[in-house]
Amino acid sequence: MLNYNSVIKNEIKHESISVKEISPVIKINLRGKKREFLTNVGKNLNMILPTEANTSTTSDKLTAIWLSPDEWMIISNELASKDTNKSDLYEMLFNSISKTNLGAAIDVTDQFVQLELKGENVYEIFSAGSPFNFNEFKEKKGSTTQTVLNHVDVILQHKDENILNLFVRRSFAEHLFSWIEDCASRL
Amino acid sequence: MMSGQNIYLWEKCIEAGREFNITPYGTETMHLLRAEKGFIIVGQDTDGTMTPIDLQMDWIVSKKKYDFIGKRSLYRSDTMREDRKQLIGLLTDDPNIVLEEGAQIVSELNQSPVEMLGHVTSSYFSPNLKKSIALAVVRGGKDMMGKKLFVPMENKNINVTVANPVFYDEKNERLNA
Repeated sequence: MLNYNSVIKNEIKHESISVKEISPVIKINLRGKKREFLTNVGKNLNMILPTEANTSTTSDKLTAIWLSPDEWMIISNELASKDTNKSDLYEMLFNSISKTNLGAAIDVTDQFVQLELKGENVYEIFSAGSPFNFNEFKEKKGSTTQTVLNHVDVILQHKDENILNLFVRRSFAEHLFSWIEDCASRL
Repeated sequence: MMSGQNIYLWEKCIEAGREFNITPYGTETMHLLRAEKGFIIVGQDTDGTMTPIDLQMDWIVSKKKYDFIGKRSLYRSDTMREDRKQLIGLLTDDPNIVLEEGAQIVSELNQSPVEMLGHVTSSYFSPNLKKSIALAVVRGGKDMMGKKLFVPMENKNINVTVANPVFYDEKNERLNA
């Protein structure tokens, strides 16, 4: 994206945990129920949307996170180009889903900030600030959940062992990051 | 536009406006500017009981229309009383003292019980006028221009003078320039 400014300027680097913002990354919120919607999306994205609750699917270029029975968030696995505001992915989904009334594709690239949390102590961050039980979550790669962390709504995706993607609304991102920074310094 | 591009746009605007002395300003400035001109904020300077006449906005009520929604309410005995709470301006004797919004206004300090005439609705220090200004609603306020009143506070009584609620550019010369 042209002249893009990340929300989080610094990174957290400790022995057992590191956190950084991944941006700019294209994120699309997809909603739809009809069978044609699922077929169309599968064909256009070359991946199957997860239908099991709180799971995600990943292809070479994209990750799809289940948010509800008829809602997903599609995230690009690559950074967006800095030379253009255009997103082929969004345009393709908008034309094939929204325009055809099969569902809705909304660009939420800037609505959410993506943080990558890595390290053996990454789940310790959540033990103090989130009511969610991560026991199953941390065992199963691709698990996702929507919970609160320090009273802030977050979407979490288990990317790999001790690696999480955390999505938080942009306006809460700095506050949550400074809270995580404080937690990480005490681990 | 994308939120992530907002800083870039802001910097470009500041850069382009530098030769024109561009100055960013926010909501507090707008609050102050409107108060200097005597423009009310509905809900701050008014409540649900107030009529345009109370706010010295008679000009807004049509003299030509035979009938309009709300006309009947303006002619009820209560809305026609002379001693209704009316919008006034207040200037403190000490220009550096800023009245507290919500403070009560009295004309006599030694009465018991003290009769409260009204209250301060908006109050600011105006760097433009180099003094504090306030808007208030006071019973019979329209006929009190120049009168000395008091705003009793916890530790002191503040002397104030009733003034025109339009503190700046009364004739709108600058507004219409």
